[in-house]
Amino acid sequence: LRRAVWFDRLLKLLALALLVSGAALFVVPFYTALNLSLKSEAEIKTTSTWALPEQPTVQNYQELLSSPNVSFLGFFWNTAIISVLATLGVLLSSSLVAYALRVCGFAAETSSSW
Amino acid sequence: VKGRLIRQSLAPPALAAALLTLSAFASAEITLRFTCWDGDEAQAILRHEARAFERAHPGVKVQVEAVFYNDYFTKLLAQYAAGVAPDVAMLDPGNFQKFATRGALTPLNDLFRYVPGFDIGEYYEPIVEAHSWQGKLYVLPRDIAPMGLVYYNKKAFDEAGIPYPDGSWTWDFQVRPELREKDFLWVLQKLTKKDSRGKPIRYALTTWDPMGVIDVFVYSQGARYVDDPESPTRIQFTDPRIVRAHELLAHIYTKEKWIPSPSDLGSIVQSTADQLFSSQRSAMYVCGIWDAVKINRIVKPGTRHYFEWDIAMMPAFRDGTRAGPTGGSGYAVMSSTKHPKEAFQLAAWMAGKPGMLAMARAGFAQPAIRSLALSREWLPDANTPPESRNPQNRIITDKWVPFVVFAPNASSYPELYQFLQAKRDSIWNGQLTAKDGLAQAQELAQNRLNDIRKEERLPKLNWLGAGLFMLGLVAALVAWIYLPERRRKLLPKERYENRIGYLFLSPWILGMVLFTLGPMLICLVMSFTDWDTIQDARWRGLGNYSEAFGKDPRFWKSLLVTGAYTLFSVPLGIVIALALALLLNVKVRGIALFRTCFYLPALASTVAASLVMRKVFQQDGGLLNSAIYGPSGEGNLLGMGTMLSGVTGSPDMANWLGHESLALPSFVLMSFWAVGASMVILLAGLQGIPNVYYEAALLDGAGPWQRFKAVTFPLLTPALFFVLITSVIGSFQVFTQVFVITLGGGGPNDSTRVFMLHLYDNAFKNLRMGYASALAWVLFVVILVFTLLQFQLNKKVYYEGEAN
Repeated sequence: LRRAVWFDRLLKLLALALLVSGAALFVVPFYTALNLSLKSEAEIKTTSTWALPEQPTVQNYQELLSSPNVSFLGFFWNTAIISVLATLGVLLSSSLVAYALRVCGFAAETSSSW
Repeated sequence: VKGRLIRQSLAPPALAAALLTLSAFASAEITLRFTCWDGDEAQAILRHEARAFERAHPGVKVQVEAVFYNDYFTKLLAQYAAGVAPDVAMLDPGNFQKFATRGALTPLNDLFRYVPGFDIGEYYEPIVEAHSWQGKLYVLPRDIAPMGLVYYNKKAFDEAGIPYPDGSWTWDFQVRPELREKDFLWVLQKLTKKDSRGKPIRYALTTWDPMGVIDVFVYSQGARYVDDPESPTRIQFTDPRIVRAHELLAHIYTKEKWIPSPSDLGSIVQSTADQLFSSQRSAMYVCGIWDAVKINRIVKPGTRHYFEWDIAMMPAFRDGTRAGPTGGSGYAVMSSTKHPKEAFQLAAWMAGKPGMLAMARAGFAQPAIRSLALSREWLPDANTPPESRNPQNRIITDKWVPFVVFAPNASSYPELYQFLQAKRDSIWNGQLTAKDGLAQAQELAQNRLNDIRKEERLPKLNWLGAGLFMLGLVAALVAWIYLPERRRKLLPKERYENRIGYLFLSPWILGMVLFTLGPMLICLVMSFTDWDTIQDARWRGLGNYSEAFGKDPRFWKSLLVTGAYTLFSVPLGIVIALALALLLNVKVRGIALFRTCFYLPALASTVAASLVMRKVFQQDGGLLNSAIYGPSGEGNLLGMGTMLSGVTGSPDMANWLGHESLALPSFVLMSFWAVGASMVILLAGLQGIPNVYYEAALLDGAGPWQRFKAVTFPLLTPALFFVLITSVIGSFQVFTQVFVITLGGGGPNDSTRVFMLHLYDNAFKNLRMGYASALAWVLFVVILVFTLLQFQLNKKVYYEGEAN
């Protein structure tokens, strides 16, 4: 029995190692995006994608928020309108449909497989 | 309760409508919408000029909107078709015909009188002609931009002991040592510096677009791509002169390496052509004048980046013939405007003295009015500040004008040109000989052109018939659902419940009919027509389908690519998702954090993720390659470097997105990053398996594998089945990643041209809604068939609570 416990621990350790390395792998692109966002155009061109920014800059963010040609707030507003209305619409119609399918006489006629 | 619900749901739109009406009445003055594709700085100038125009024209407001060039024409057409087009729109010779032939533009000749003293004779003649169609001017030229300018680094010429170019260059198919610095190829050869292994350290020349070189080679021999630029009947890609020109450039790209090929630029050199020039890694740079601003900003006097440079003309052919491609643009008045007079006044302001001088002063655009192009606002003199004095030889922008050749301006040409572009990729990197590649492009383009000429004679679509057909289909569908129900006798209670049920379903039914079923039916009707979204649809019968199956090699190619993508990404993706789900089902500390990490990518916006993925798969310095080859570039992780070399047949680092046999596998790999969505469903399935089964299995002495086989897998089949079906459907519809990463091209050589991309191109780039609708229905049927096939598996799925 002690051997079984020991084996179990080993398995858990292995799982943990896989989890950590896998999670790191999955998060790397996010790190890249953040990293690039803090570099100047010139630095992106000359340094490795992995390397941390030598001279971190928030210029990209400033430009995004203040550029007269790109209306960040306008874009955000567009996205917000779509997200909010779409979510409300889905919630409203789906809950009505789900209720009708389950509670009203419809239930018997729907396929049982889904 | 119901009444209040309806009132609440109606209130916001009603309020919005009321506000809109109010705001329309509040402003009595005219607002003109003006769109352009200029970059940030040029836009700032245009905005500034728009304010100046407002001051000069009280009561008129100007709203400047900018759209990125790649999407510009698609968006403008969509706006026009939807009735929300701007009043004044920037257009260019290659694209205005699309609009002019469809009646979207106002002929400007009748509007000239609204601007006192206006004289079209002041404008450069070639650009006025290029913006005219059937004798009418549709776009008021703002600038002309000959592309055959060579920016040259004087230091590189001094080092090589070659005199600066003086306009006497000629080119021939081989190096002419006896002509020395008068021979263009001789100069290219002399200026290239290579290391001991033959790898270029400094290129002789780089180009903003291969067009700057190849079109000079083609045009200066007197060859043209089509027989008639306004309404072509014959494609001439296989003209021997055009073939030889392509052979020459391919030879320079692949053998001599005097010029980096487009794919070398993107992968090995890892920078844009102008950066290569301004960092002195290329002695010359071919482009229009517009990049002088960018180069001046980096090659600044007084900084360590500075070097002396100037511009010259691309060479003439050996017999002295000079010709080259050109750009140019201007402003058009859309026919939908309610204020043609004010709109033209705005166009004439922006493409007249005030606008042109502002753009010229900033160095962005060569004025289309010749006297302004010769003024000191454009040509540098002793008073010009040193940081914008280069190029001093700016006068050659004027000298080029008599020799410029505009690309054919037939509205069908952009579509025909795509066939050439697609084959050129393979010609430039040596995968196809110029002769074969051009012959293939010729055949495809000529076939398409013949079809286009036939389509013009098709009968108009009979909307009454189409409407009746749609109604018939709907009636059949309703009958098919409703009639079987009808036979059963319903109890009064059941009938009441049904009525309530339908009431509850009505929002969904309404949405379904309006937004899914209706568009699908219209799409079905459109698939039998030829429709460009603006002109009347024309009846084509089964023509679209027979074209897809019989004449469009890209249809089969894209179906094949999508099939291969599905075949690899779905099964492997499910295996990975299952493995991850099993892993995340282990009880260790901090599991919530791990779950978040693995699920996060599924939440990332595909567009943003794709942009990052370009960095991951980049050849030089990309994340993947630096893992495989190490920081030195010599490494070989797990033998993968060797394996990849076997696939690509080249010792260089794997060019994931640039090599034909690696590009699609790259997208498959990318798809694994977003398996989180399937993983979560499988994880929920796993956690829904009651523990008692595992306990029973343990008591029976089952090992981990047996437990998985006998308990986990069968109980997980419903979740797996769901994941399988949704993934197959999703992967047949793959689009965004490919569109973003290949910049809408599906390259290299169509190896990532997925079906949806082909559909998108036809719908929005070529404006063939009918053909695109047919493609959509083909895809629909393909997906339907595959889904029905998968439902055969349904019998093997275990549903708990069912009597098996």
